[in-house]
Amino acid sequence: MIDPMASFEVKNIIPIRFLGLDFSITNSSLYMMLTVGLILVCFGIGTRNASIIPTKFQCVIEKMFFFIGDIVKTNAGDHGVKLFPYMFVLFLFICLGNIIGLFPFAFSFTSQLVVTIGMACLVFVASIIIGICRNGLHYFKHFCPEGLPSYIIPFFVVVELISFTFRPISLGIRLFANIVAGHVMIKIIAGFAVSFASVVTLSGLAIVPVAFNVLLNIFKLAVCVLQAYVFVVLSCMYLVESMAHEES
Amino acid sequence: MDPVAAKFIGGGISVIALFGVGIGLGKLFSSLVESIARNPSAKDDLMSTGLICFAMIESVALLAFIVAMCLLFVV
Repeated sequence: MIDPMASFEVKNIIPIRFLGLDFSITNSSLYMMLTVGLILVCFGIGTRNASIIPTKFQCVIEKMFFFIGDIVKTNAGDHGVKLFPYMFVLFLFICLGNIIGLFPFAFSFTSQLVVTIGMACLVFVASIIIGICRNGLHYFKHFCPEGLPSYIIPFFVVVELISFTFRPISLGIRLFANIVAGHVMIKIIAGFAVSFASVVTLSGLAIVPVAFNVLLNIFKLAVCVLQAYVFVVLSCMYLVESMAHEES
Repeated sequence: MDPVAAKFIGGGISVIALFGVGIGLGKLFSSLVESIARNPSAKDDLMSTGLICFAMIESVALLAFIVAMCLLFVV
């Protein structure tokens, strides 16, 4: 049987070593460049002759723009507008990366834990820095709200700290596991089709796993967009939470 | 016990987490449908909250999946 995990292997395509560090171009970074290039080309073409009366392509671009704008506005309110560019780029990168990974023989870079946890840690560190810059040391009051009875404070602080540090891990693992689980499932069911087809008397039955795989791919497409959406909404919430402390 | 057999049994046991995930998703979507039926004008807000909750519940299932895959392929 073919190993379903084989497609997640990172292969080195152009080895580059610089100052003792590994800057090699792997298939993962190649697909990241492809994603970024695709975004740039689409947005370049779509907004080249931007006019009041949009062309069809410009409509699509504007629709995506307002979709993310609405997410940021509902979660962050008016002072969250500064977050919009980052959230927009994050959504496009994750969503397009997931969708590109659905193509046969393509590599989806969001199936690498280092990529997803890296993006999640970026949000996490940014939320700490924003919180400290905006509120100074008052930011740490977040872990110990006033009005608690004194005997409960140690437990509360520990629980809050654990849930706080678990945020980037859960954010990264959610995206990673969704993508990996979908890909493994598709590959295992494709393996059923192959093993049905190799038995002469059962070869007609091979159509069943193939048909199921088609449905699964449609479901995966929805999951790809949904996970990018969830990632953006959650990171937006985390960032806003550290910004919004200033009123109290 | 044969270590290979123990590995497979462990992979099977780790999927018991799906029991809780099933209950959670059932409760989530039943109350989501109910609240949309009660107040259809709030559908958009409810859907986005529901989808976030869905992703959070689903991540438990995916953690179980990771444990199972680690047992089967890594250990």
